[in-house]
Amino acid sequence: MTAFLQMLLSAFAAITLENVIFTSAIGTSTLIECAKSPKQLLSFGAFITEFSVLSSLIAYYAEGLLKTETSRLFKPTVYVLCLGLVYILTLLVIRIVAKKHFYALRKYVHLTAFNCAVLGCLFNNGIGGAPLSDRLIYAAELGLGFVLAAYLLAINYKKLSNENVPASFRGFPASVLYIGIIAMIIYSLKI
Amino acid sequence: MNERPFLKDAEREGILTKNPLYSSGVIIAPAAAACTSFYSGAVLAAVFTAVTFVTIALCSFVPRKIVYTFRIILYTVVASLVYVPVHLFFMSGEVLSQMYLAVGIYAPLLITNSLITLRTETKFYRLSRAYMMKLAAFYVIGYDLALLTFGGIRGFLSTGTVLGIKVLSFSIPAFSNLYGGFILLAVVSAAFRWLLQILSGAYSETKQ
Repeated sequence: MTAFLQMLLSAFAAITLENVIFTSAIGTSTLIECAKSPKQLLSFGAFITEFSVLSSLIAYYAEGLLKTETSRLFKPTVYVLCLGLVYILTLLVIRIVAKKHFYALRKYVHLTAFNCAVLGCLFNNGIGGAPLSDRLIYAAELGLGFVLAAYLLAINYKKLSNENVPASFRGFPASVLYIGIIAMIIYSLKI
Repeated sequence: MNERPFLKDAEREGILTKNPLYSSGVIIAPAAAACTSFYSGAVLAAVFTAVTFVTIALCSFVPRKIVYTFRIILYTVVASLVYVPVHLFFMSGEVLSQMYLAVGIYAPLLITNSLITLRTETKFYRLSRAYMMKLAAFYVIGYDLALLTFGGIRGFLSTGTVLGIKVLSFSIPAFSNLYGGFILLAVVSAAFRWLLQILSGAYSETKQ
């Protein structure tokens, strides 16, 4: 039980203290869009997690093909192709498994596919040449961290877009300010 | 009385009213995380300009008959290929490569910026080619100017210098951190919107 709790706590610490939005800003624009309609949070989070994990898995093996210095120049292209493959597979699976929900779900797939957060995950994984298990854990943490960040923004998004907020700050600037304050709290917790 | 608008439609939209960074709030990550000085802003702006403008221009020839999913994959593949010579150019000089490496993964991440993955389909490719190219150019210029001004202000506040020359006797290093970037972006963006409101108000008064 203690080991399970420890694992749970370390996972929570990873999602909060190493949160991709609050520590690297990657995916902030999507996060703000996502927070506008809280009902979408889980669907978005699920697809971001799925895309990060599956594309990390494919990219791990695809990177093995890039053996020369010249071929490594095309790493971004390989990552984009990995994402494209997951994109097509996801749409096909939804079409076969949940045909009724295909039209409702495909917009999330379209928005998630070439999201900076997902591509950023591949780039970050590729830098250190980490083992596959570490890459998959990082990818899963990224997705869950995105949901947490989107939830934190969504619960206050209406207040940030309220008429009481000065017109110049209303919406986007207030949201970025709010994200900045959370990022500052996380930064202070880490040092 | 001068009834000509301050800027023409495309210029006004791309640089002011729908400025990708300050007004629309897209492509935030490179600005908040990596644009810590005028120089890093210039590097990001150069990569963004080359990748985005060339990709939008090349992909405008992609037939609309191709399914949406494949079109988007194609756009990002083209962007990633356009990025290769840009990367080689920046790695060619010692000083240039140091500045380029300092922005880290935020430079290659620009290949999936929303002007390529979203605005192409929702806006640019629904317009005539000539106007589309003009509008895309001004969106790119709008984002570039935003990066340069934001990087300049951030560098000035965090180091107290302007282009390497010490101007202030004090500095606020916190602005070079990510949270400082978010907070400063919020303030600069709000100031930009406020100025825009004043400008548009002054223009409508002149027109009346």
